[in-house]
Amino acid sequence: MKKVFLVSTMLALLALICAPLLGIQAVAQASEPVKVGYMISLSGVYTALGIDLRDGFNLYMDEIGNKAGGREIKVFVEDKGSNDVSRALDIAKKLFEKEHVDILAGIVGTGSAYALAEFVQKHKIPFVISNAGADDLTQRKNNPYIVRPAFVNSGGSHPLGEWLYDKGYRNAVLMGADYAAGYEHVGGIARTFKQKGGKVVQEIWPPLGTKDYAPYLAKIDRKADVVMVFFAGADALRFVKQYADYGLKGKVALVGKGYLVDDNILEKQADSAEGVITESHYCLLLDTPDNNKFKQAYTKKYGHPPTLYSEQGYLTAKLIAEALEKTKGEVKGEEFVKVMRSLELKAPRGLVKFDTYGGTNQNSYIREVKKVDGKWQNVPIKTYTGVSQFWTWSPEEFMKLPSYSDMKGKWTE
Amino acid sequence: MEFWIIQSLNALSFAMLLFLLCAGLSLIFGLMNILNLAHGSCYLIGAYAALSVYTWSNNFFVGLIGGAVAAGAVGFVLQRFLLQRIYGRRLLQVLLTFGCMFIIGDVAIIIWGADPTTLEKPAFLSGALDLGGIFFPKYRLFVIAVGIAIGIGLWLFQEKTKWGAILRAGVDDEQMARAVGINVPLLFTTVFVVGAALTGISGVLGGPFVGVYPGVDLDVLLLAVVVIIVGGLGSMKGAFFGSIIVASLDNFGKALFPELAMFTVFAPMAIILALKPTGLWGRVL
Amino acid sequence: MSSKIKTVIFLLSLVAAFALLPFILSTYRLGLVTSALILAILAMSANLLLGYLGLASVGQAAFFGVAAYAVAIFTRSVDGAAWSAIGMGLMTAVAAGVLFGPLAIRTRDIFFLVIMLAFCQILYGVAYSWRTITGGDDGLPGLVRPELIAGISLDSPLAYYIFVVIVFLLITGAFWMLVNSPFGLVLKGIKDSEVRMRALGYNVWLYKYLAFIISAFIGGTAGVLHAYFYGCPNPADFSLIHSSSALLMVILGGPGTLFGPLVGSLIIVFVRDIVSSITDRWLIVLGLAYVCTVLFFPDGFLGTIGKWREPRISDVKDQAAASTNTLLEAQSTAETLLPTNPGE
Repeated sequence: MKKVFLVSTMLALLALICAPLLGIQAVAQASEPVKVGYMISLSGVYTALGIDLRDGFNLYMDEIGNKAGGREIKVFVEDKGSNDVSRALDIAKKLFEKEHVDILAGIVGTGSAYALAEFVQKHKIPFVISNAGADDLTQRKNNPYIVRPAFVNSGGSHPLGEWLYDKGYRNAVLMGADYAAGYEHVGGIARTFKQKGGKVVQEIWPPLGTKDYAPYLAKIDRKADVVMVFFAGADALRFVKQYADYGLKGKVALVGKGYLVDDNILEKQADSAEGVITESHYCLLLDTPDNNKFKQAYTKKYGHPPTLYSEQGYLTAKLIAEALEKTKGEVKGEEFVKVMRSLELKAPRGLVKFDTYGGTNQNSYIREVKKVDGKWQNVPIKTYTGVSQFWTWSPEEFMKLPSYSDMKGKWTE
Repeated sequence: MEFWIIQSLNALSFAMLLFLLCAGLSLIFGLMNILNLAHGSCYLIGAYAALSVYTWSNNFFVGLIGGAVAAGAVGFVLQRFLLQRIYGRRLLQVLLTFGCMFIIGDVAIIIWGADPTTLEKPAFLSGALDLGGIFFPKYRLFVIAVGIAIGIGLWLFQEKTKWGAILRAGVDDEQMARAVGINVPLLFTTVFVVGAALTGISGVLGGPFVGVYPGVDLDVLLLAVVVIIVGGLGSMKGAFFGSIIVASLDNFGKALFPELAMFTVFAPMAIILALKPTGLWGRVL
Repeated sequence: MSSKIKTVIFLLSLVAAFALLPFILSTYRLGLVTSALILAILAMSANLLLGYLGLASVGQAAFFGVAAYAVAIFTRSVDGAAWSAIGMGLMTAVAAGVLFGPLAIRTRDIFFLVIMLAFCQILYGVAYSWRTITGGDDGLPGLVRPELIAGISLDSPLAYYIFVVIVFLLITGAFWMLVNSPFGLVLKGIKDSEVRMRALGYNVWLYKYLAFIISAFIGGTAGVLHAYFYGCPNPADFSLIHSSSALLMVILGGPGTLFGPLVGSLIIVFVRDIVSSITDRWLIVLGLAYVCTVLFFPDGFLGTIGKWREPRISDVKDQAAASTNTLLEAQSTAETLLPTNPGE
């Protein structure tokens, strides 16, 4: 009996001694900054995207004074190169092992995103993807550490396919850069278009980085009334111009994903892009208080209007900060990701929610290139609200369908 | 039939673009035995500089001159201050110019940003021409004409003028050229600058086709190297016909066997080199 | 002190240094050393061609990438056995060497450089477009480091570091023996003068071919290590940047030296790491590294230091080696003609 008393007294004493220690530790954690590793492309072909992602991110961090949930946020911006997966992993290791970051964010290219998905799962780090859109990151290969406040490649394509059918188009040519993103962006349009009753008459897949699209343009089946495409960056710039050069503009409608006439290349495409219809999750011309405020602040800080990527960077920062507010600055692997996925964000692009796979529920804007105030612009003509990455299918149903990469070459059947 | 006509015209226009892209590289290699890997950087600087001059002057041809001058200046610095120090050591030249490519590419991002861009083509060259029912872009016909003109011009220059004779003397026997009183260093610098300026011009004329963006330097370099290797190093004739061969294989390869599109440039080159290790019209080094 | 004893002493101190590093360096820096060692092995394969045959290759990534893919594909399709996956990777690299060799060694100089580049680009195209096997642009993520011998997993950074060090030392040792063997001397002879060696009755083609295959094997070894280090073979493994930096490492360290590639790779890896934390525009600094190497250390770090210390002697040594070499040949070919023992 005495012994029991002795032991319990000892334990109580121990607890008394430890209590302040624990308290001190809690305080120490709160005063220490939350470390965020932001990995983007600042060299190679994705440099333009990387710069905008960075600027958007920094803008939000400035707005909140780099503080959220009572803690300071320390951001480590690193260049992960454009396509070099090993470099991306090197940088991730550096951020994790040397800087001990709590959260990893950024990533432009898909290859790096897949490789990092395994890295973050192994080390239990929340991973906020700011751009890489590969379907399976939040579908067939989803993982509890990923949240993606950007887009899902095929996500916005689904409404576009239906819209095109409703507008009276019936025979489509599919055309996209010959890699997974191309299959997913274009496949998404084709799937809903075919489901409604449209027909795919031809598939053409030029390699990424094709300099001269002439041999492909000459092959386009003139019976088609619409060409559904995915090209981005310098490819998109060339493609749209060459499409017009070969006299196809105005004869066969050119439609695609927003990257085709991105705001940073539209000025150069100028009248060759006239009338091009695209779908995007962001639109510079959106007249909402959130977007106007964002545009104004961004233009003031950087001297030029934001792009889609600036907005994605901005939203990445907002997502992390709002989640920190909610957890009072605590970052605990999987749980923190759950908190992020539960948020509803009032973003410049509109209301953004997340599903249990880390993918987005967000607006989808159909836009047309028109001249407004003497400038070529993407003018929104139709809005689909709260579009899920699975469209009208249930997640299980959708993921049972063949993936868009597997569907390549089989659309005309 | 229409298919073949239009694809042949495509191939020809792409060939002339390639010729423009590789003429400067071939010229420099022909005289000086230097493989200038910063070649793509001259293209890049030419295109960006032309764009700046164009925005300022609003004239395509003033922009063209601006691009040529800027690329020539890059060539001058490269040859005069760097390459001259390691004359005759080819491996070092390769590394040096490769390093310069990184530097120039990054500096260009600092100056001009990273958005992909192109030069606006002059109004009278936009749109398509109706060739008896077949529409073909006017600008491409223009590029075909310019390519052929530059090809003939360079050939005449090399074969028929005194300067050309001096050049060929420099190529064949540098010491003898020196002995008969030719200022070889000046000759080399001049040729290098002219080659770089020519590449700058290709950056302007090729702009509406290819565009400028971070990484275009490497893309252009690879294409140009393939062409002059297939044609045979240091031969202007080789560069000209090499362009036609590479462009035709690429164009018809892509049109007829689209699934092999990734291989239409490099696989033929490997085969040609395996059969004829110095290229089709090459001389032995 | 003969150069052999010097090399042995250097090798031993290197082993000691490698053994000490895990106690001094953080996990992150140890990872950097690991990746530098892997790149040093790749550079060694370029060194065999450049330093001993005079052939500059910007295509070593071909063997590197092929081996990396083979490991991942084999592990995916035939589960389990790590040793056989590694063997498969090495065999594929050697097969690539056997296949490309006859085409490549017909060319020389710039043409060799470019044909190797073409091989790389073709393999890049295959990796990119053959989705069902190679995963296309996504690569093949998910390669897990194996248990080599029951109970010893290579998963931890330290274990993998040790594994890479062992492989590196083995390859270095083998390389050293190779270049000092009669075979290696013949290679040097070919580098100096192909015509002379041919005149002496050597099958120059065969020697070049064998050296090419050995280089493919070494490059493949680096590829296997690379595949397990990152766990994600992808088309960028075939990139020009990889090949050219291997070449730069050789030249920076000093072509034709045993430890040049290691010195070169350590310099590049650490400089890149430090600079890229300081500035976004780190490629400018990498470019300057190329330019400065060429202008100030054209014979590589080791070569230049050697020159400072003992001017001319290295040249004399080279000449001596060459002439001994020629003498040996002369002896062996002329044995029947000349009286080998005049006293008789």
